[in-house]
Amino acid sequence: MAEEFRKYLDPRTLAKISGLDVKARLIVEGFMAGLHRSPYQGFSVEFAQHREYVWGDDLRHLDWKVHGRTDKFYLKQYEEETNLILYLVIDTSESMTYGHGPVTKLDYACYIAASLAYLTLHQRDAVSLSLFDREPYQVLKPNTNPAHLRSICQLLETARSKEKTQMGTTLHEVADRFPRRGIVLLVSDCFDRLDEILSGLKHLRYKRHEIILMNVLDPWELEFPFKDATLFEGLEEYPELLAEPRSLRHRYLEEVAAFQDRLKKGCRGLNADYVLMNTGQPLDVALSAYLATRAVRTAMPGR
Amino acid sequence: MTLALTVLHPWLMAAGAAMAAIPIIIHLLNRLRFKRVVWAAMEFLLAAHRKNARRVRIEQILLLVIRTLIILLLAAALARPVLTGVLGQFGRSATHAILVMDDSFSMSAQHRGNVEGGSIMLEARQAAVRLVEGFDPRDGVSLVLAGSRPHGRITTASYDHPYVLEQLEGLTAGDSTTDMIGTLEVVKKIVDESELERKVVYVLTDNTAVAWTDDAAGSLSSLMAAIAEKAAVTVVDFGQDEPSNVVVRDLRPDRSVVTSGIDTVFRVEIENHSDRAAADVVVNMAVDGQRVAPVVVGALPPRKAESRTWSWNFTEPGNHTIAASLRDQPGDDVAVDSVRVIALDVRPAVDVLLVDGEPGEGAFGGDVEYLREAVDPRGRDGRRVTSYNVRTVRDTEFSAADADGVDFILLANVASLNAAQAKALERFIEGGGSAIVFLGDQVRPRDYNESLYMNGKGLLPAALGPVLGTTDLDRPDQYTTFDVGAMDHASLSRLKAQQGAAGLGGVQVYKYFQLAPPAGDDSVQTVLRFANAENSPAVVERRLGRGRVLLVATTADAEWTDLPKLPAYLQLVQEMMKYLMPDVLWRLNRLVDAETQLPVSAADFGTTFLLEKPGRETIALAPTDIGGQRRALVIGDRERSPAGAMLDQSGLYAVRPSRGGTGKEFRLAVNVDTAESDLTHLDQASLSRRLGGTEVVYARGAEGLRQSLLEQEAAGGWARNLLWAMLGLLLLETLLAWWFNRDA
Repeated sequence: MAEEFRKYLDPRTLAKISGLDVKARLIVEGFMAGLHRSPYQGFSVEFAQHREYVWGDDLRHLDWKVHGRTDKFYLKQYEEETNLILYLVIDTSESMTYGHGPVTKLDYACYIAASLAYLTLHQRDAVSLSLFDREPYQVLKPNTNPAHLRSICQLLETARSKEKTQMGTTLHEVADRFPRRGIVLLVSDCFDRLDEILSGLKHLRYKRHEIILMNVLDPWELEFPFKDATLFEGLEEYPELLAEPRSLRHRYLEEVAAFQDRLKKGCRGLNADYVLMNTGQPLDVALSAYLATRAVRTAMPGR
Repeated sequence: MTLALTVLHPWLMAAGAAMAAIPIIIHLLNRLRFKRVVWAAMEFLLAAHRKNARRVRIEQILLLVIRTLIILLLAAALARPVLTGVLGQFGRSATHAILVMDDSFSMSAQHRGNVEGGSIMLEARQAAVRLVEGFDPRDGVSLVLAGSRPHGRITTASYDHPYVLEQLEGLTAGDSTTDMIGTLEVVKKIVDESELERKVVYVLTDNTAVAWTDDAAGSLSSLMAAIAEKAAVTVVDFGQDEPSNVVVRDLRPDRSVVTSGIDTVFRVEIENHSDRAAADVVVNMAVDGQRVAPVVVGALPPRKAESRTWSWNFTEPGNHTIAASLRDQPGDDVAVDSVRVIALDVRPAVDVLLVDGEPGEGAFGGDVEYLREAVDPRGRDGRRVTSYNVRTVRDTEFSAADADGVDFILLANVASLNAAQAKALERFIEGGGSAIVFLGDQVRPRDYNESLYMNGKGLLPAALGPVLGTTDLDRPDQYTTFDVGAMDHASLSRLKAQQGAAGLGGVQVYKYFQLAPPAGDDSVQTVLRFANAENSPAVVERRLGRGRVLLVATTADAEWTDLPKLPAYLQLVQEMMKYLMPDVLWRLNRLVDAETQLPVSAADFGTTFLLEKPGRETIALAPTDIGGQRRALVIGDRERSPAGAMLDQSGLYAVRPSRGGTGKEFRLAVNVDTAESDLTHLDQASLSRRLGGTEVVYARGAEGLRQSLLEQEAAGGWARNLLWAMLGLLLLETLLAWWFNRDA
């Protein structure tokens, strides 16, 4: 059964299934089928009461201060109060519509967004969704209601744009719109000016948001496997280019790697997580990255 | 120096040039044929393209140039380019080129392709000039003539090419025949002594079968094989297909000593060396330069010879000439062999000296009386019926002076000859005289054997053995006769044809010497044998020098045989005399490049003679000592004759004493050797067979030579270089393409 769910982590399999909310559930179930422990329980952020330790409890939640005073083991128990907001910021610009196979980068971004929304809402956290190209053009405010997932999925399913990416503007606007801190999960191919991206991210950090930058790229964009003469028709108002791919490949890969490198370094400088998302890879990478960041966020509430 | 690029296959070159466009077209087509891809990461691609564009363009242009060059080089190599001149010589070692020009008279044949009436010699000469003009200044050139003697004209490597060209320009076909063996000997010597690394021999000839005839020892093929080991030999065949040549092959009297006052019959032989019949062949005759009635031959079938007789009565003795020339014969390619001349020393009579060993008294009392009568018989009215003029001397009086000027010496029952006499007789025979020795009871066999036979080295054709038989009238069983059944000798053919061999079979021989001819001596043959038990020789012949001697085992008179009393004796003696008639024609009638000796009387030993050649060139000649206190004008001998005194032209040569001489002016006739007249040329296969399979390059005419040279140049030259270059470029292209695409 678990193996059956895991196949839904494969974007190619998901592409054959209709309904983004269904896909989101399948992704999360598939992801969780590989986990030993459910991510749904015991991770609220506000302390409620102590409970005496019994064998088998997670030692991470032991209250060492109580142990220091009483020499007894007590676990901290938390209220299931929503104070974590996941801001999903999805790039829907024209460049995101590229995909060499059945799954475009935008599809992949939607899978990520939907599945994380599903997971988050199940954790009783709030989820916000912003779609952007030149600027955010669709925004759903944070909400913890599980029914919110439907709105999110509907919005994602209609998300398409012919516009060029302008991440800088978008991130500044997101930072301004959402003053309450949370996790900003930015899903984009980042085909924009690096300084503007970093400037936007800086603004978000300034607003004390945790940032996860999921850089979605198609495998062909990463490998550039073309051999014969090819006319590349640029998206986002770029001109056409007739080129001999073999002679360009090396230089192209250098350019891509250099950009990623600079982006990674920029993220690291801002204490933001950078995750490269290859649309040819299973989606659990995205969920793992998110959960890791959430765990850090919950472990260090004062950060 | 010239510089020229020639291609053997120009159409391949043109096709190659067209094919060179293929990579360019492919390149352009590739630019038209591409996939379309919608691409998002354009910024990276454009950035990469901007940085790569210049390099990629250079790489593409480089590859395009290399690919175009490869095809161009392949096409050029297939077209077999030949660079002559400076570049063509690049990298080639200096060459010793030995030009062999066939200047024999057959090369004077009119070249049918030449509208101006030039000879094939002209064609060959022009081809040779072009060859020399194409040589590099480092190349040495030698020139050898296959006709003219001596053959070597330039025998070392000459770097003075203008001089070589000058020599070539002056070359014409002479009257000589091709002496290929002698020529190749010279060529071999040049090749052997040449110090240049590369040697090539060009034989420019009309390639007649006669020219390439080997001798019994196989000298021709072995010489060529030896030359071909060290040099590349090219035979350029300038011979023409379907040659046409009508020739006066021979003109000679029916006897070698021509006398005045009687009709002399001449035989004129005409040969048609063509594949077509010659019509209306007429031979113009001239005596002493005066035209007389012609000889009409009529139609002459192809490749056939016919002879006609023609007679003339010289009223005056002395030096006379006769010329036979073909009246203008259409399609007769060669002129020089259409004329034949003959020079004759017409005598008042044929001089016969009888040396009598036992003079007798009265008619037929002596040994020589029967013989004299048989040699010079008189008609009933006392009129002479032969042209023999007989003089008799005693054996004791016979001296060397008696031998001078006579044609025959007959010895009859001479006891013995002293050393001087024996020497005089031997010289007489060696010089072309004829002798008949009759034996008898006076003869001292021991002296004969010692001074005349000399164990086979003397003039006598057989040693004298014991005397057999008897003159006893009561012992007829001891008599013998001639074996007429075995009369195979040429001199007796007419006698044999008569009934009973003209009575020779009935002759009784009472006594005779048993003759013992030497075994295994080709110069000796038995003419007639006795019909005795041993079948012993009766008449034996020996050839000695230019003359001949007959030894008869019995007597010239009736002492030992009844033959002299029989009519058969007259016939036998006449036939033998006719057979032995000395060859006096040879001195005055020679072939081109032969030599001759013209004896000079003692009175003229100090006289200078002038030799006027047919070309009006005159050369002074002094009598040369030829041994035995004799002197002669030696003509045509390269060692003993003065420069120019050669019989190298056909026609009549005049010899006259300068002032103060006693002799009269006389003429020599020199004719071409008509063996050269058959102009049929050998094809490549026939030539190869004649050369014993030695590999030589065969080129047909000037064009064939040009092609052959180009092929030889191309074989080791530029075509191969181009292919190597192409291979190199292919490798380079592969490496570069890999290097440029190594990122992929």
